Amino acid sequence: MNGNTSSFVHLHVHSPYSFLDGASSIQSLVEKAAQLHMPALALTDHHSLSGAVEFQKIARQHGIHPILGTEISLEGCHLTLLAENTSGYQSLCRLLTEALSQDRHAPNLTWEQLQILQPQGVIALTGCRRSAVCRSLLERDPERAQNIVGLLQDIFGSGQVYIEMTQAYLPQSRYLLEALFFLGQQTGIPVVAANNVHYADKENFPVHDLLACVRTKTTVEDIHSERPLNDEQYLASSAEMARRFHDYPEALANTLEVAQRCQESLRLGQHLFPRFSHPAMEGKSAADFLTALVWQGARKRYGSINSTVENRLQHEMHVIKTLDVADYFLAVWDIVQFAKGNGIVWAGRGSAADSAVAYCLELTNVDSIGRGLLFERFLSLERSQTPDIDIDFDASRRDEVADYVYRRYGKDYTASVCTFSTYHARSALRDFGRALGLNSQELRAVTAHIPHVPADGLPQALQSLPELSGHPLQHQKYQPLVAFCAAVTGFPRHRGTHLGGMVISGQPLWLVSPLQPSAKGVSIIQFDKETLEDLGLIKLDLLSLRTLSAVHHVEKKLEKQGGYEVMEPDRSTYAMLNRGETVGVFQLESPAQRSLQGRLQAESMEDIIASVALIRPGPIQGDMVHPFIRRRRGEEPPSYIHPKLEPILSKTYGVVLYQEQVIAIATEIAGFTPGEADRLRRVMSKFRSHQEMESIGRLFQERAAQQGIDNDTAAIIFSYIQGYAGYGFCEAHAAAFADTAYKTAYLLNHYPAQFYAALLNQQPMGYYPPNTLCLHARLRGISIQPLDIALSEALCSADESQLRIGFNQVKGLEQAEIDNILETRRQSPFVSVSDFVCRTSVSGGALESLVLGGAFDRLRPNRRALLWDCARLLKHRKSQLHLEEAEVSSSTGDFPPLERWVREYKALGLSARGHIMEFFRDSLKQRGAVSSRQIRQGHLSRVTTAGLVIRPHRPPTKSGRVVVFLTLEDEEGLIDITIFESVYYRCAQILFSCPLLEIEGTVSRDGQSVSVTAQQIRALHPEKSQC
Amino acid sequence: MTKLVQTTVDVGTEQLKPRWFFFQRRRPVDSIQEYWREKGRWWKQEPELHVYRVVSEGTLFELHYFPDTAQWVLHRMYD
Repeated sequence: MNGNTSSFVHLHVHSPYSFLDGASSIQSLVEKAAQLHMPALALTDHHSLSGAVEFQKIARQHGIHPILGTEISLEGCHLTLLAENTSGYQSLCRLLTEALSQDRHAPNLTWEQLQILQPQGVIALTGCRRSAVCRSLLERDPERAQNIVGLLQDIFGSGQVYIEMTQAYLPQSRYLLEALFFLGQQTGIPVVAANNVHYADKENFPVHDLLACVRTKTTVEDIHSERPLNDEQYLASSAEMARRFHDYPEALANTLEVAQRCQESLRLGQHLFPRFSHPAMEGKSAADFLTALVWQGARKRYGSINSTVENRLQHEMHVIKTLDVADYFLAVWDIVQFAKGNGIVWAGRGSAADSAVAYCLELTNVDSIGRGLLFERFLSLERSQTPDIDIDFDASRRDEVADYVYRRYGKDYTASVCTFSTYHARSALRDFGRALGLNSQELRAVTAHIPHVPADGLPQALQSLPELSGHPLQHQKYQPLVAFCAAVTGFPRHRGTHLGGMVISGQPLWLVSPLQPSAKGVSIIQFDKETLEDLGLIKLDLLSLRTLSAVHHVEKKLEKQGGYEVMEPDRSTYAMLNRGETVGVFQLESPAQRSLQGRLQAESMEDIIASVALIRPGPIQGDMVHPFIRRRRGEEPPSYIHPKLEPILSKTYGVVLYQEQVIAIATEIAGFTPGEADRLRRVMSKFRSHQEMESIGRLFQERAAQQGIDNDTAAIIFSYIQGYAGYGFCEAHAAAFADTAYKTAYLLNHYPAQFYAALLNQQPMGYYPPNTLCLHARLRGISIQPLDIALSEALCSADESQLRIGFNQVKGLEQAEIDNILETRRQSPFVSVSDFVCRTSVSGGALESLVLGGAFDRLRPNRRALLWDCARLLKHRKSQLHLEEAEVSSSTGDFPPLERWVREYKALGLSARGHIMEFFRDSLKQRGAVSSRQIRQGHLSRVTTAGLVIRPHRPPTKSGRVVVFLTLEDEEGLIDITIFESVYYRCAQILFSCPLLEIEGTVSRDGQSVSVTAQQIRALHPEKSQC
Repeated sequence: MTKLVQTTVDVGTEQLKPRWFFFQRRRPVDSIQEYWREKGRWWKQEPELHVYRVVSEGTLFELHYFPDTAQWVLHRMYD
C-alpha cells in the first residue's frame, strides 16, 4: 500500500458484476477511492469474482491496493468474505462454486456446507443489515447473534472474523450500531466500519434504485423491501465515515488493519494449461510427440519434403517449444482427431491458418507455406502471447466435441468461457422505461427504430440520425430516461455462455475461478475471454458453423447417391460467382460481395481470398477496393514505391490488403523481426492518440533509414500501413474462409436444390432470410413445393429439381410436435383436419400456423374458414369425436390473395407460392416501374422500381457521410440500392420502417454488377396492389 | 395513540441535531430515539427527508427535516 494518510478503507463494495445492483463501474469506484486518497479498496460482488482481474489491474494503475472478496448468501442471509491470501481466494472460488451448483439463480450455502468446505485464508465480516447477525439483533435476539459469531469463528478461524458495522441512516441504525459494538465487546471480536457501497457518488443513486426495480420487477411507484430508502450507500470519504462512526473510532482504524492483512490473493500470468498425455506418446515428451506428428502430417500433405517446408516447420517448432505450448497444439489435434473419427466436419479458421504446423496436423486446411503466410502473425517469440486456435464444427454436432473435451479432461479442469450480456441502448430503454412506469404502448414508442448503439450513444444517435427526428425520446420529459440509460452503458446484466470458448486447465479451475452451471447445464467459469490470458488460461474456440452443417448435410445425401468431389478450379462455378449469383454462398453473398464479384471476375482461389478480405471496413474506408479491382482487371498497372514491396504486394496488385503484408513490409523496409513487426501492428491497431502514432512512425523511419531507405520513401510506405493496420484482415483467416466459400459455391452451382434445402434447415444463418433463399431456388428452376400435411417431412427436403418445405419452417411448432405428427401419420394418413386434431397433440398456436402456412390446403383450401373452425376442433379434441368439418357458408370467402400470402409468410417466414411483388406488378407496370431483371438485363439509365426491403444498413464511411445500402427483392431477383445523404435525410423515416418501397433512381453498371442510386423513395402500400 | 400533526415548527439545533422545538410551547429534546434519511420519490423531484424520533418530557414526537429548504415539520406525536 502507498503512504497515504487516509484513516479508512471501504471493505464492502459492489460493482456492476453484482448484476442489477452495483451502479458504478469498477473504473469509477477505483477513481473515486483514489481521489479520496484511500490506500486500498475491496470488491465484494454477490456470488461473483468476475470483476477480480479488471479490478486488480485498475486498482494497481491508481496506486490502490486491491482486496478481492465476495458477498454470499448463507441460509438466506448475507455474509461478506475477503481473501486474505491465495488460499483465501481459492476458498472463495470453492465456496461460490458450491453455492452456485445448488441454484445458479438463487445461490445459497448452508452452515453445514460452509463447515465442510473449511475455508482457509478468508476474513469474514459479519455482513450488512441482511446478515444473520444483524437480523438477530433487529429481532432483539442478541444471544443468537452471539452464537452466529461463534460459529463463524469456528469455521473461519479465530482472528478471522470481524463484526461489520454500517451506518446508512436507516431506521434502527443507531440501535444496531450500539448492539453490534456491544456484541464485539462481549465476544472480543473486533469491529469494522463499512458502507455497503453500491455506487461511487450520491448522484448515482437513481440508477441504483432503477436497477433495484428492474431486479425486483417493480416500478418506482411500488414499495419493495429491496428498494433502497436513501442515497447513503456511496463511496463516502474518510471524513464522512468518521462523522458516521465518531463514537466508534476503532471500527474505522480496524479497516486499515484488515486491508494490511489482505495481501495479493490472485496471481496473474500463471501457466495453467495441462500437460498433454496420450497412449500413443509412449513416453515421449509433448514436444517430441508433436514433432513426430508434424513430420508425419507433412509427408501426407506435401509428399516429399523440400528445404522450404523443412526450414519452415523447424522454425515453427522452435517457437512452439520455446514458448512451451506444444501441449496446446496436441490438445487441439486430439480434439480434431475425435471429430475426424466420428465423422464430424471441421474447419480451422483465423490466424492459426498462418501455421504450417497447424496445416500438417490437419487443424486447418490452408497451406501456409504454399501461400507464403507469415507464422508470426499467429505466434512469435517477441509477442509471447498464448496461441488461440479457432475451429468451426458442424453446428449440429459441435456439442459432441465439447462433451468429449469435458470427458477427456474432467469436470473440474474444463469449463466453457462465460460471456456478459451488457446494456445497450434498447435494452436499457426497455428496462428503465418499465421501471419508471411507462406503459407498454409508451415503451414500444420509445424503443421503436432505436439502432444498435451503446447506451451512452443514444443522445448522439437522437441528435444525428434523421430517422430519429421527431422520435418520442426527443421530448424533454424523456431526457432523464436517456441520461439514466447512458449511465449503465456496458454494465453486465447477466452472465451467459460463450458460444464456442472453452478452457482446459492442468490444475482445478477453482484455483482461479468459481464454476457455475449454465442454462444448458455445462460448467462455465466466471471470467470472459478478455481476462483468460491474465488468469493463465488458454482458450480453445470450438465453434458452431451452420454453413458446415449445411455442407455436411448435402455431402451425406450425395454420398448416398454415389459421392462427389469438389473440383477446383471449376469454370462454371467461377462463372456463377462472376454473375453475382451468390445468394447462399458463405462469405460472398452480401450485396457488397455480389457487386464485387460482378466487377472482380474471379478466376482462382486467390481472387476469392482477396474478396473475403476486401469487403471489410478497412479496405472500404481506405479506398482500396477500386484500385484493387482496376489493377486486377489490368486497367492500371500496379506500382511499387520501392522494389522490396513488389514480392510482398504483387499478389494483391500493389494494394496493402492483409495484416501479414503489414508485418512483411515492416520487416523488409524497417528491418523489424517478424515478431517485432506483428507487435508493432497490434500496437498500431490500438493506438490511442496521434502522438502515439507519430512516435511509431518515427521509429519506423529510423529503422528504415538503417536499412538504407530514404526518409520520404519510408514516410510514404508508413502511410500505406498506418491507417490500415487497425482494420486489415488476416490473410490466413481469409484463406480458411475462402476454402469453405468455394465449397459452398460449388455445391450451389451443381446441387442447388439440395444446398438450398440444407440452408433452410440450418436457419437462422447467412445474410438473407429464408424467403430470399426460396426465391433464388425458384429462379434457378427449382420447384418449391409448399408445406403439406401429407407430404412434408420434419426438414426441408430436395431432389434435383424440387424442394419441399418442411415442418421445421412452421413458427411455433416444436420438435416434439413435429415428431408426433410424423409418427401419427406413419400409422395412417390424415383424412381430415378433424382427424389430425384428434390424433395429434399439436397446440392451438402451432395449429394456426399450420393452417396459415397452407399445410391443410389439400384437405380444406379455404384457410380463413378453417382458421375459424380450429377453435371448435380443438375444443372437441379430448372427446376424440371426429367431427364433420363445419359447413362453410357461401359468404365465408377465403383471405384475399395478398392477405393469404402475407399470413403464410408470417407463419413460415417464406412463401412457396410466389412473391409478394407479383401482386403489385400490374399496377407498377402501369406506372412505368420495372422489375429487377429488366434493370439487370436492360440498358436503362433511369428507372423506377419496387420491392421487398432486405437488410437496410448504414456502414461507416471514410468521409463520415451517411450512405445507406439496402436490397430490393421482387419476383425476379434482387437489385441493390444506394442512398446518399441528401435522399436519406428526406426519407429516413420510411427507410427503416416500411417493408415495401418504390424507388426512382439512376442505374450504375460496372462489369456484371448493377445497382441503383436512389433519388426518390416512397412507401409501397397494399392499396396499390391488384388485390 | 398517535396523532398526525404535520405542521411547520421552529427547531433549535446543535451540530445539526434538534435540541428543542416549538409546538404550542417550547419543548426540549431529551433524547433522539431514532434517526434516518429518506430519498423520497426522486423521480417526482420530491425532496430528501430526515426523520428524527425524539422524546420530549415523556412524549415521543416525530420531526421531519427537509435539507433543501432547511424546514422542520412536526409530523406526528405519540401519546
